[in-house]
Amino acid sequence: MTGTATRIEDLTLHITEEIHVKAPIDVTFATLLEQLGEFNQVAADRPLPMKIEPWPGGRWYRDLGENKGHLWGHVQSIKRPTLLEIYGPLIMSYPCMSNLQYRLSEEAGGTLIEFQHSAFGLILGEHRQGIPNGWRYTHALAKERAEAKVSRGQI
Amino acid sequence: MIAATAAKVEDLTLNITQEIHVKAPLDATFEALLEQLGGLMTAAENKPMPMKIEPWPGGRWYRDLGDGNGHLWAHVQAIKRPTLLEFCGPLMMSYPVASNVQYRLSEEPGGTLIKFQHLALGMIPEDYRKGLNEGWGSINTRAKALAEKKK
Repeated sequence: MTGTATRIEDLTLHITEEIHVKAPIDVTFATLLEQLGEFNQVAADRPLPMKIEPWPGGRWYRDLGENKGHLWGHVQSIKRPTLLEIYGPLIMSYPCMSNLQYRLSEEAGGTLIEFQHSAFGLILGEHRQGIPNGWRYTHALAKERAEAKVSRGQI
Repeated sequence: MIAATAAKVEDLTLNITQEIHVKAPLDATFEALLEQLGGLMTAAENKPMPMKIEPWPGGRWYRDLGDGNGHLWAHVQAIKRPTLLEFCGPLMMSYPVASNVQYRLSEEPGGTLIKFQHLALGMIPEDYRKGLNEGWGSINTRAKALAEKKK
């Protein structure tokens, strides 16, 4: 693995995405937490529920029961309903540190989520290729669920 | 000073792998490994250096000096008894270094195979680079002896 990283650029990853959600900011924030937590999934038929302890230093992890599981990160910052920041190894079982940021702001008709994933480490090619699609999928689901709540009048 | 010596990406990385064949069942080997990395941990020249492991995802692996003093080595990145134990953190390095340590256990004829890997990225001092391989070897040998004694 280490032999593939010959330049500093090979050690970094930077993904940004803007998601426009037709839902109020507090609903969007709560839905985002749910989507990254118990409703996390990697494909339509592949749920991957996670747990988030929604406080500074809280864990974001896969709970397999009986104290088994996978730690993905810790909450670096949380300021409801405008900021959620996580740092940690995420899914990477090698030395790589990630910082995730969700910055939410009100915009006409709803909420803008500005997302950023920065990472530094020995990043596998398959992760470099697959992670952007994974985030897009997750964020599309969060948007869909937040907007469905509005449609159903659950706010 | 350390960074100035790292001219290539390879200078920033460390990769140690070891295979340990243990004549003990998988469960006993996993428990012995937790004990060896915890309360029975040793430092250079086999001096006792007891550590604590909180054996759950996100749990700490740390040196407890009492009264809230101590050193954090890592957090548990993954734990799936009795086949996987994974840590991420700085370990003993007071430098910007990220480490991933993996113990993968599987049954083999007559006992258990432990596949160990320590991957690190950062400003790794040369003396650590040389000493870590020997240090892990000593720790893993002790874990093997403990498991075989307990079986």
